[in-house]
Amino acid sequence: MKEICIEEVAKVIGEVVPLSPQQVQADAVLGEDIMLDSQEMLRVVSRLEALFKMRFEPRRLLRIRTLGDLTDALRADAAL
Amino acid sequence: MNSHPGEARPPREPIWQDLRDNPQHPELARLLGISGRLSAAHVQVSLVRSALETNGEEHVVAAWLSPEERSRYATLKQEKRRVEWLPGRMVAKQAVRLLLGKESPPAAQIVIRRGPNGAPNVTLAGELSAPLPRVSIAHSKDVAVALAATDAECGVDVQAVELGTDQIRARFATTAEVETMADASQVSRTLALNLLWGAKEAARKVAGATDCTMLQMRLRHVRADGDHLVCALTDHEGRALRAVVFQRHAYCYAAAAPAVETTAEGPAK
Repeated sequence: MKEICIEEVAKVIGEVVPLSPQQVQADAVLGEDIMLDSQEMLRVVSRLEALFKMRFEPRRLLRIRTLGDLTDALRADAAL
Repeated sequence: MNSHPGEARPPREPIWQDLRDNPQHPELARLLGISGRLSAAHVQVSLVRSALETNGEEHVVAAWLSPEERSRYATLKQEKRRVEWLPGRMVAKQAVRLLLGKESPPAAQIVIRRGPNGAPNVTLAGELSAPLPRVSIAHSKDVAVALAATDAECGVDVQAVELGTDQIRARFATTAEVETMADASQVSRTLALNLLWGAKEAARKVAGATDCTMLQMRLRHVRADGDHLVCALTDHEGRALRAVVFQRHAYCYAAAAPAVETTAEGPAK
């Protein structure tokens, strides 16, 4: 399995929306700092699931606000 | 930054438009079935960029942002990021100003903060006899929109019509819901999917976007009212909500509020 780190998650986000290296911070708010809208967020989730061969727990996704949250959720659900 | 908030005036034209070209706030409130007042504001990000270039960044920021918000703005290092962040604040404040009318303080004295659940909260400087409005913000591509209401929770969404929405359909809608929307709207499947997305997303903001998933937000019924679609939905706890959706140019717009009447929309599918 690929290593799950913020940079790897950011790389996937960068396939959906333009992303600069300065935005790759654990506390970057996905909606405000990275400007992901909600459909783009679902596209990121789909790509991450395909890449890491896992499924996010839907309710866990509701609590994700930051890039760090998304990385943590990916780690938690990939470990199941 | 040299700022003179007392002297600055928020630019009104050509930036600001209503959700549709004419003020239809009473009409939107009627369609949503709410008795309180409602205001909506809409801005194109590209027009904000032009205003920053024409009027000067310092002037625009001083006119629109509180000291707290200016500090936040200053942390955004990239010009592109600042231009993306600012319209959301501007449009929320404009919706509040439209709602409060003469009672409204200047935009720079309206503070929009994100609460713990991500939903925006309004704080006003000074005393205000009217209750604080509820506000909802959404953005997509070149558009930012906000909705403010006095007596009801409200939710708003804007979504650039995406051809790829079908690829994530199973994550947010059932086949039956798509058919219900397509039958009522008589539009293409792609557009119906985007309208359905908007209805659910706006309704989730009313229900609590951190509590209700897109699939838990269920579309029950849709009826056409002019060029609007009025959608009856229920959330994860069975509460009834109403959403009004329409398409304009390349975007789908949606506004939602708790449903006052739950029986007039017909039986649940």
